[in-house]
Amino acid sequence: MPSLLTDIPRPVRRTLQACAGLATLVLLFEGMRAVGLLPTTSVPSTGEILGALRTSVVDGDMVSAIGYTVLAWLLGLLVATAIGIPSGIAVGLSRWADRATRSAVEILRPVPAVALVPVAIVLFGIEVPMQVFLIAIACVWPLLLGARGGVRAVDPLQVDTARSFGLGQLAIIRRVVLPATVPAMVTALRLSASLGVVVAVGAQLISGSPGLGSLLVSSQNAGKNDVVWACLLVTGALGVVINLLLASAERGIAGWQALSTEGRR
Amino acid sequence: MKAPTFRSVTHRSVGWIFVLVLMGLWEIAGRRDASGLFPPLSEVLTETLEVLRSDALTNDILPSVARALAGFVLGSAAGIALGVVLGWWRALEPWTTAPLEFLRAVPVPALVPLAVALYGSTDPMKVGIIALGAFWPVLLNTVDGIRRVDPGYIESARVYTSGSSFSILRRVVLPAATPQITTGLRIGLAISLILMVVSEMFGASSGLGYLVLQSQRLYAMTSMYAGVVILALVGLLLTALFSAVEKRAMSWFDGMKGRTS
Repeated sequence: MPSLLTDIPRPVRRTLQACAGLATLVLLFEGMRAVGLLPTTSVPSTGEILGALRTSVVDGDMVSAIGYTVLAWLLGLLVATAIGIPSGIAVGLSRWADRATRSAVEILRPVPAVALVPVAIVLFGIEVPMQVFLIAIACVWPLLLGARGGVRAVDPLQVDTARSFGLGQLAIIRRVVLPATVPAMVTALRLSASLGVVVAVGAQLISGSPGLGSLLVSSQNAGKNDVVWACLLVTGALGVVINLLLASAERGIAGWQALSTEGRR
Repeated sequence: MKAPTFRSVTHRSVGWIFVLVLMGLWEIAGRRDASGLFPPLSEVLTETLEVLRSDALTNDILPSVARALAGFVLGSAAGIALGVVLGWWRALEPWTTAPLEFLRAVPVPALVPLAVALYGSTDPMKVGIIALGAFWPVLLNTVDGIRRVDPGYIESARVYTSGSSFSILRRVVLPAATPQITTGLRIGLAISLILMVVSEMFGASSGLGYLVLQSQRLYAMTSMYAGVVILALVGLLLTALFSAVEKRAMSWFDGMKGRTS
């Protein structure tokens, strides 16, 4: 590393390097257009994309598309959490409940949620509730399994200690098991959060349900390629914001608990 | 191998009884439904068998599965390769983090309409989309897994083997990162299946996803649910295949752990 770089204070240096990385990405994109890897007839320039982003924000299309997507995502995640976390804790606590439901979970979990788009259209129409249904179905599994794994991984020593201090079964669950499970649940939430965006956009693309996915398709059908690329830019930015929020929540919680070993996505 | 005891048999059957109860509920709800939107399970399963016996098996279902597998394998291979590079040469990290965080945050289904416009609804396009979907989770978990390898392992490897960076990477770092890479692969497989369906539901004229969507448009509810059941079977089959491969890979991993300690 040249000494020029190491003289700059670390946070500033990091920001500069990040910007350089992003600038390289833009240059790469423009380079691919110039060389012809991306046809200039259908792929707009960075300037055109930013211009389209501005106009679509001003005329409100982009804003309402973002609004619908975030709304469906939030509601879907909420439903998935409300169902997945309590059931995950239940099957984590009770071996019997786990045995009874495991086969059903293993059969249902691999069903790709977007395969249910047609079913969801029949049941809910093509408005936001249909997206909520699909997001909830996709996200409930990581949350259920995360909560279950978290409960299972609680140190038996902690439970025994609590018991020898005279705590009852319910108090142990509330004051020992649940707090120890929080990190695993937050990790599961981060996994489901990005899965939720994927499912939301996928469902919107296929069904035309309102959101960024359907704005993208309708712009493409109208020949407005610059808006299509602006939509991609916005979905990426939305994903970055969601990831950053949940990653920092996870890091904050990891402060008092060792990082869970769940994967990231 | 232990012989199955009475206990283990009852444990297993409890789970299947629950599955049967759920199936029974579907059957009853379907028979009671007058709208025709929710056919009973028996009809759906009969239709499923019929679809599996028809030429849809070779025209739609098997090509779908082949594309999903091809995309998953290509995307995972690329993800592991780039993940090793980015995880091992840490000097790259500050430069690459921001662009990668942005690129991976773009939901891959959003790229499907563009890919269809640019390349048509062709097999290479679909395989490419599936590969890209599998690529990100595998890449991120490989990078993470390699960075989290206990530095002590690497130090001891340097002392005891005086080996090159490459052999340390191959014989110490990669084996130690295997569990997390496997986690990435499992997530990547689930995403591959999602993208298999999306790439066949948007602008396509064949494939499993197309079959399901087309049945819905024709209001052929029984064949729509039959398609969903087949999709579930495909998911189940590929996940089971993955678990079987993982078990073998992991038994090798446990053996390595015994040897290096």
